[in-house]
Amino acid sequence: MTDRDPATGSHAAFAELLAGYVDDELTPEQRQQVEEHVPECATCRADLRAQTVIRARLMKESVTLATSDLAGRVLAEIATAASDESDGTLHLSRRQLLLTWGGWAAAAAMGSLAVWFHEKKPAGMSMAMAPTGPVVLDQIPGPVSADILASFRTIKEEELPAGVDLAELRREVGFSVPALEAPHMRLISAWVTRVSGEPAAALAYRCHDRLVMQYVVSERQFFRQPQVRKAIASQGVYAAATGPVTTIAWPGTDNGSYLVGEFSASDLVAMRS
Amino acid sequence: MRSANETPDHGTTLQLQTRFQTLVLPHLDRMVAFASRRLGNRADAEDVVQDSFVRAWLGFTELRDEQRVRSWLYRIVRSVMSDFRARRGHRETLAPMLHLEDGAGDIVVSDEPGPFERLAEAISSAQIHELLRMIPESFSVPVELHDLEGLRYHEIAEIIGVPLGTVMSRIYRGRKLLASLIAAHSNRWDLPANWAGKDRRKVARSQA
Repeated sequence: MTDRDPATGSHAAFAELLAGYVDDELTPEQRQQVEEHVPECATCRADLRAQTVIRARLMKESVTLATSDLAGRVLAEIATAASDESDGTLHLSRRQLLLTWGGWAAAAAMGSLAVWFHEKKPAGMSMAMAPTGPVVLDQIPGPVSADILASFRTIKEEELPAGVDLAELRREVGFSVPALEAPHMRLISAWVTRVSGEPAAALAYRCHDRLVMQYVVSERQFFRQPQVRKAIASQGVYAAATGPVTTIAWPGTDNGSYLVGEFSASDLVAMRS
Repeated sequence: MRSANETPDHGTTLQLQTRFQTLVLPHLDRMVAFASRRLGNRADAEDVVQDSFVRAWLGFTELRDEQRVRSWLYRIVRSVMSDFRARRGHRETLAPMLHLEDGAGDIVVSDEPGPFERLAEAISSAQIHELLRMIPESFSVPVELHDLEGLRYHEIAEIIGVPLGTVMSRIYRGRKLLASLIAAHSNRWDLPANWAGKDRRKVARSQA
């Protein structure tokens, strides 16, 4: 470890703060010290450049998707492990575990498992309306989904409108706009837009240093699409993808939300849960 | 009286499974990606992740804070990976660290975008992963968890069990080591045209 007291003014005193500086992990005081020191220190400037270049290069790496049968193998293995658990810290009924996990594993083995997802059931919603099961991607996205997938590709983070006023947004679009609060997601911008010619709310998030968009449309527009109705009825969530861009969609109380980004469907599902 | 299929804190089996399904399974892809980079082999990575998720299920009632599910999973995957390596007698091929760290400052000599930036852009994912595996895990894992997995320092500190300041220090050193390795290996790769010959010579000179 180098000397961590920047009061010495040496390069060594600041070097290890440089990672924290580019990652926005310093206290305001540390940040100020680095900003005062770096213009005076060529070594620190070079180090800072190296940190920035490497960080930017690594952040361009995309996540590799697991093979389609891995989820099935995992569930089958868990079913086996569950049956081997004798007394168990879990205090579970072995038979029930086997039956339930076995069912999951069997479904996965049939090749239909893309993403396991359990729809959160709003109060008063019947189980038939909130099914648990595999989410299948729509092979040919409908017009609204296609519009949203295409729009995402045109958005540039540096051109996003400044400020987030959800109350004003709700007033303008005429339906509620539920923002997401998942870990690692930060709402950076929100504005009124149009999706397939109808008013919608656009919410931009930064997640793992990538842009994710949530488009909130009216309930009427959301359920007007046959593919969406069918997917919601059968699996609780709609999903579609074009190239690396994926969208998932789900209904709200008086609206429907599309979450879109260069993430896998399972990542997007994790963000909305 | 609690029924046989209820747990003290988490309700019925079905509720527990639903929580597992919602919280844990969506992280499958990320855990496979993490293990693949570390092990350099996709099939081994999937085996490790499969074992990790079984272990996660068996210890699921120990997860008290749902916000920490990802950190919890990374800890399990790292532990299973360590067992896997021990069983296989796996040894890492590490680069000589002191020499590389000393040379790192010479590679990026300008505040302006230069040959090193173009080199970093030109190399492939497979090459980056290969170099990351040549860096000791104590430095490469914090870099990966931050830059590739998107975790914050406090989460990384929790996963690898070190103070926050140590995470910062290791990320700093890990990135410097990677920068040095990229420059040191540039002449061994068949890089695309956007990595120009004169750039190659500049980086080679800075290493001399």
